Amino acid sequence: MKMSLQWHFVFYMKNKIIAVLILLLSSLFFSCAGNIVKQENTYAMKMMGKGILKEAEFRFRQQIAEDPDNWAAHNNLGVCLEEQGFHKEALAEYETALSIIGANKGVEYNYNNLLEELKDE
Amino acid sequence: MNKAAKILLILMLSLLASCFHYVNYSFNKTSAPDKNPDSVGEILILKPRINTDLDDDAADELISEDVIGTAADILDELKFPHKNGELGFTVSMENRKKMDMTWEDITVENDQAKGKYLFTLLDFSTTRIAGYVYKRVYDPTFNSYYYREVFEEKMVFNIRVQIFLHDFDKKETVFEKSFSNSEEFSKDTPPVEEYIMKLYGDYLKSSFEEFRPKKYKVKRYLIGY
Repeated sequence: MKMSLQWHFVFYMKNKIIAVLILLLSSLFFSCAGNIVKQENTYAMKMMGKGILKEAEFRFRQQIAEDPDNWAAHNNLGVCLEEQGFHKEALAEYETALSIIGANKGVEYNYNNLLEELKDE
Repeated sequence: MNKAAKILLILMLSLLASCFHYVNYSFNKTSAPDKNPDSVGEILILKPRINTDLDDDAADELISEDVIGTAADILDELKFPHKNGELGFTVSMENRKKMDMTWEDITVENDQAKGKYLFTLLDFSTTRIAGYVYKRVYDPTFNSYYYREVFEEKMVFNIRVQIFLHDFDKKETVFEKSFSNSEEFSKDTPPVEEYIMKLYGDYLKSSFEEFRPKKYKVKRYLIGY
């Protein structure tokens, strides 16, 4: 039984189509997972803007529990703690963020400024 | 580049689209006050010396009572312990003409006075201004503006407040502050007592500024993604 040319093409492309489909599904999964983290972070930042610091702190801590290497969450938690007056804890969070990322303009700014203010006190 | 590779690249780029960005965030922080608030101790609020051009003396007496009440409320708000006190004192008429008085100009009759005393000198006067002024007026007939003389009446409130906090134990003046304000009202003038008390409250608060924690704005970066 001879297959038509079209079926040949489908079988030829089959593996590639499957590979692309797997990639598509996996990227969809990862982007959704990333979106949840993003939403959580956006929500926490919104709470900080409204002054509901405990809620923001809880959200940042949750992000860190899910991914301890999330340096952005460590930095944001540091800002949240600093606003609540927990300066030493905030400094530790900035240090953790810097130890993960190595160097970052934003985190370094926060860390150096808090360090200077603590020196003045 | 084949199709699959292109799709892969697009997907990778869409994944990378959720990259980090900085968000400016600022909040108020408090720092320690310049002077130790505990060093103030208990303050005795003295009856103030009021001088207004209002119709009767009863108004001055009423304002005097209000000043004591406002001072008590403000000190409560600032968390400084206080009580009302009586102290015999005289203000030299010669010195009274000076623009700024000092505690030394006030002679205390009772040499045995102890503790910290808060004393207020308050001058209030009103000036009525009336006359014609050139004003831009709207003419609805021609839908245009023109200038003409308009009769205007204004009331000016002049207030001058001096606040002293004197320590009789250390024989030194903790602070002497002088404030003044002139404000014009063209239509509705506020009730005089309310106007005086609001300003006096603000002045008293700023007098104790050195003993209060200072607020300043801090900028930090939040990282969004």
